[in-house]
Amino acid sequence: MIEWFKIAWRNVLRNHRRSIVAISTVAIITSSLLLSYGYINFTFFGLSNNIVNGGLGNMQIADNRLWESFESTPLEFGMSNKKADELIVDLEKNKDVKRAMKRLLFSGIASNGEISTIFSGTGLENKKEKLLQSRSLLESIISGNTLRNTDKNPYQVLLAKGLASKLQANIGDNITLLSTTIYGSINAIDVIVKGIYDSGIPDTNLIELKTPLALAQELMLTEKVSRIVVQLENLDATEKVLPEIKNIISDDVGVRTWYQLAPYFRSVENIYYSIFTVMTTILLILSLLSINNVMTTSVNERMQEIGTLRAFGITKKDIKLNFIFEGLIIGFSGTLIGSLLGFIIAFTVSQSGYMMPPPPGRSQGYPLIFMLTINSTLIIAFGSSILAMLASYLPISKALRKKVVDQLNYV
Amino acid sequence: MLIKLENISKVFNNGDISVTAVDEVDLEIDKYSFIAISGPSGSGKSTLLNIIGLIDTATTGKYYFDGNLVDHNNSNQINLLRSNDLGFIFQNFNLLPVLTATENLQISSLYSIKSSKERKEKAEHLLEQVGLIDKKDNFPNQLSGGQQQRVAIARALMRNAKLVLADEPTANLDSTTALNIIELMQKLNQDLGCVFLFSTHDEKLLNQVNTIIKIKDGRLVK
Repeated sequence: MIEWFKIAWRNVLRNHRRSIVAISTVAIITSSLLLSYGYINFTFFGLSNNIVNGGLGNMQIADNRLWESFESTPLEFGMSNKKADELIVDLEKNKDVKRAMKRLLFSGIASNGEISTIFSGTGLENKKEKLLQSRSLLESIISGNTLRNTDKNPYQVLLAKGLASKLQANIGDNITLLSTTIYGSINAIDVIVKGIYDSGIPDTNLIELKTPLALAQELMLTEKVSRIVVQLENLDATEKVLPEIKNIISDDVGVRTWYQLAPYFRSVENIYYSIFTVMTTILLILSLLSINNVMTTSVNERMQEIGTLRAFGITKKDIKLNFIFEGLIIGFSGTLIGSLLGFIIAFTVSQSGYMMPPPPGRSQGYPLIFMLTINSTLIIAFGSSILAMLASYLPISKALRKKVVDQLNYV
Repeated sequence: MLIKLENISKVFNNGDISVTAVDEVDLEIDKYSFIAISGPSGSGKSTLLNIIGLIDTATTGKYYFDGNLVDHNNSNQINLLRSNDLGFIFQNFNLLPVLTATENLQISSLYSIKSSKERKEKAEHLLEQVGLIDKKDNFPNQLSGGQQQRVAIARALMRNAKLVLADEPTANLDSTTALNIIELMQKLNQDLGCVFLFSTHDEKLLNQVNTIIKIKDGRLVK
């Protein structure tokens, strides 16, 4: 076997120009695949991170009926504050749970006295929510501040920028929130605008607001909450921790993961992976054809050598091995160079701070980062090497079907 | 007797046209022989050598090697004969360009001599016999035509072949080198006892050989 590897190695060096072309092709394709995968990987990481830490949490817990049907009256399926607090204590005992917090979802009409418009609000536990959304919340504030001292003064609100614009509201302005109470009557409370934020989604910006939980409960005349949001220590631990959470909660409440609550994530993931698969297939076919072309030329040029070896009784298996080694050397060298190239480009571009334009349906751009992993690099390198072997196997198998005399007389 | 051919024919079919390259040849070759096959171009010399060397198959007829009937459908038997009993010297030398002279010899006996040390020793011994021990680490492109053919002769003898076939071994060499090559082959025939069977149409070389088989239009001429 060593002899065949030695011959293969020397042939790669002997036909160095052709080998350089083939190795370069494999290297370019490998680095392209790595960068594509790195980009997609970062996109999913960024998206999932935005979803979870942007407010959805890793999972949410609510009354089973809320997950399965619709409320006919406000907070019909709400959870009592006491029950929610007990559940939060139990949840936070789990080592994988970072924090759990109550939320109340409500809607109504916001008015500045002259202009009125609908809103979709979230009443939240400010201290915990700040920790959950720490970075994204601060980054999203475009004027004013986040909610502060909500225990002492719950009468404050954060408006999404579109809603603030509709209400012509500025920081420090008073606006009135009107909503239906759990008893069906209308209630109104005046609040001060503390901050204006960009949710990142233009449609949401037109209607969204955030208030302290106490204010939302006072507005709706209730002690209830809509759901409990659970944040885990690790973003990727959702699947692992889910069974433990199910064991903690009682039968009348149910849990939904962030990707169940944001089904578009899976759709986006499927679309991206479909595009990546098609692109990978095209690039791999190009790689296969390129190496196959080089190896076919090599096999044809060395047809007499093949015939000579056959005349000395060298088996077809060993001759195939020789050419497969040659393909493997080209494939391995190409993937090695391609991987290095991919890592260098990924590092340089990721450090450059280049911003991509906002994706469809979003109002903010995002940095161009390639998130490469060792696993993906190994898989792509392994795949490219196998492909190079296959690309070598095909022409030599075809050549070995010729009679020895035809191989010797091949011109 | 080493070789016995009975009624061997080879017909090439090209569409509607059939060409009989070897026509009902009966031939017996004794051990230790040194034989030349002579004939004009297209007479069937190369085809006959290819059939005897088991790198081509006869259309009809029987072929016995060392008393055993050769079955062309038995690839194991063919591979064993090629790797143990047959040696080839080609007109274009056919040395592997990426291997040195010693390595070219060693690769041809990969199966018949298992120990790499023994292979190397034997290769160097044979290179000494053909007068090229000082060129043992040279690659083919660092050798002259005559030197390359000497390496090719040594390579043919690496596996203790009973029969060494050479198709026009001197065609690409000048007349002096060609004579030297034939003399070397004769010497090795006498020293090692293997049969040499080669084709040529060079009259000067034929004068050096005792046994000549003449062939014309695919038939042996008596």
